[in-house]
Amino acid sequence: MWIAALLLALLGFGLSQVYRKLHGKKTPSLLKKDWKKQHVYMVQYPRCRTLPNLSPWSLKLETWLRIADIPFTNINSEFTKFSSKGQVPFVELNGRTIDDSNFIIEALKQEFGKTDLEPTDAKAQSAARAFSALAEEHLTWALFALRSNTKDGLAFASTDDGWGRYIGTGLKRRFVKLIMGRANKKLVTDRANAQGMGRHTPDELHHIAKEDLKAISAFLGDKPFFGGDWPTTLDATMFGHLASLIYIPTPEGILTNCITVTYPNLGQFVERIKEKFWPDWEETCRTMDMNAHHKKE
Amino acid sequence: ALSILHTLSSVLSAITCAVYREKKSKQHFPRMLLLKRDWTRNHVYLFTYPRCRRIPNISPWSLKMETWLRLARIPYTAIATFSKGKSIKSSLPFVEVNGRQMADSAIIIETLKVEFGKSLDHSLSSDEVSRCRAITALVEEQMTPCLMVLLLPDVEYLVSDEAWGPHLGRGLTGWFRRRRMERRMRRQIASSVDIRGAGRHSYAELTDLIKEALDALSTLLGDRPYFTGASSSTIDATVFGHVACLVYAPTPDGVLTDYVRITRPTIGKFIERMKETFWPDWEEACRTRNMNTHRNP
Repeated sequence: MWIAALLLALLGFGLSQVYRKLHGKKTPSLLKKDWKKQHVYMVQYPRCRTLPNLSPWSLKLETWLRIADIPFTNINSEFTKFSSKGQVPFVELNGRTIDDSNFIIEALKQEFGKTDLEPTDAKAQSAARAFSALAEEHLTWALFALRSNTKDGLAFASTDDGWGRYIGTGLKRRFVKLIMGRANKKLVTDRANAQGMGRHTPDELHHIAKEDLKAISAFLGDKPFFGGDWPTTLDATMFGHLASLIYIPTPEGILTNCITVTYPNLGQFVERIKEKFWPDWEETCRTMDMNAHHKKE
Repeated sequence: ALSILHTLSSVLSAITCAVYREKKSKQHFPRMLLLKRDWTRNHVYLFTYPRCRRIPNISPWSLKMETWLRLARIPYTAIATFSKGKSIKSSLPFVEVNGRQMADSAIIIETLKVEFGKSLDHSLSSDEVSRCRAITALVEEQMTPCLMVLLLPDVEYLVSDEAWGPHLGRGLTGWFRRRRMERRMRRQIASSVDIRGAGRHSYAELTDLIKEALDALSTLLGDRPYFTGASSSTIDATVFGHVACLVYAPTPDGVLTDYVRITRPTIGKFIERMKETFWPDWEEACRTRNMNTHRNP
């Protein structure tokens, strides 16, 4: 029986390698061939019902483009298109591809001459860098490990509100979830273990997430935005990573409660950014349209 | 044909996962058997990597842990080990204190502060506490993974005679153990950085990221002797552990070491200050490879 499993494993591995060689994960040429000059084409995951994007980095980048008032069009990656680094989101501008959301922001700031999106004071810039690392590299991975650790943590992505429409409906969806569900869970758990957060228990992860939220809330204080009176890049980062706590429903809602009740300034901050820079939030979520913001303009 | 191949390979891999039980990390089951059976009360037994020629401990987290124990004036005995499997979270460093085993440096520090009644960080305001948490995330989750990617081509340094080589034995057995350790470290580091995204950056991008992190640290330190003012606290041990490994790391071109010592002398002087205050036995420890050259309070 074990020999059969081993042979199956080898066969599966061989086939997947053949598939990867043939299909490849890299997108060699531009996706948008008829591109307009000085117009950003952003490739990101498809829309969801409760929030525009499940991926914090995609939400952060799109929010930043809206804050910076840069014209952009979203392209649905359909889970098949990835950057040369194998990541999503990535951007095409003036015939050039740029990877990694932080490098994209730096490049676009230079290209479009946006100089007022960072704090002027060196100390505030350093603090912004540190808190950006806290949200992006610590809090988000704690949440990622939590979803892999708890039962039904990843269930939202395959519901109708998430990306369920890509899996099919009814019997087909149940079949795919049965086959792919365990493989997916193993993939996510392995990633969380490799990153380091996966070794903690769910209680410890909740504690880590709450302490991080406490630190971010103390940094925000009474200010309307992290940058003071006007939003900066850090606000886009924080919104991208905190919005998922409110808008992805979890059965226990521990962290949703934390962000809305225990540290209400964070919940209010998320609502503030949403009202100011996402007027098309309801329409985007309802219609799952990649470019609802074009209609508003 | 490609989609059939894809479906087939994913179905086979899913069946393989169903047959092969995924490796559960040992987080939920505390070890019944301690490694140090004849333990003394209120004495910490720190299990960490062996000494190296250039730096007492080449792993940033282990150096941070040991520096913190000296800073907090907690009596400890360091024991050299490679076996992560024996720890509760399958990670190094881990400690055994008063008959209990704990892993993960952040959790150990929090628990020992309470257990030994140390008022190390009590005088910090909530603003400073949140800032320290953000600086910890900047250093541990952004700067050090970038450094690991830079050092990934030189993993064989870790098993050379300057580092852990002498502890792995001599002769033919030693050669096999060194090759196995090298393979293990390379796989571990590569998977960890690949998940974070740092593993996909180019050399120039990584060096820039590290330099920006060092700039931020230098600005946040300012002209104070320690990060929280006149007296040292946990954040100083954290920054020292990670930046000292950067300064003494065997990078071929020494770009980063020069950046710390020459371009950002504030941080360079901070490292020297911490080294002189808390590691007066640095030279002796590195030369004799003795784990316990310190004097306990």
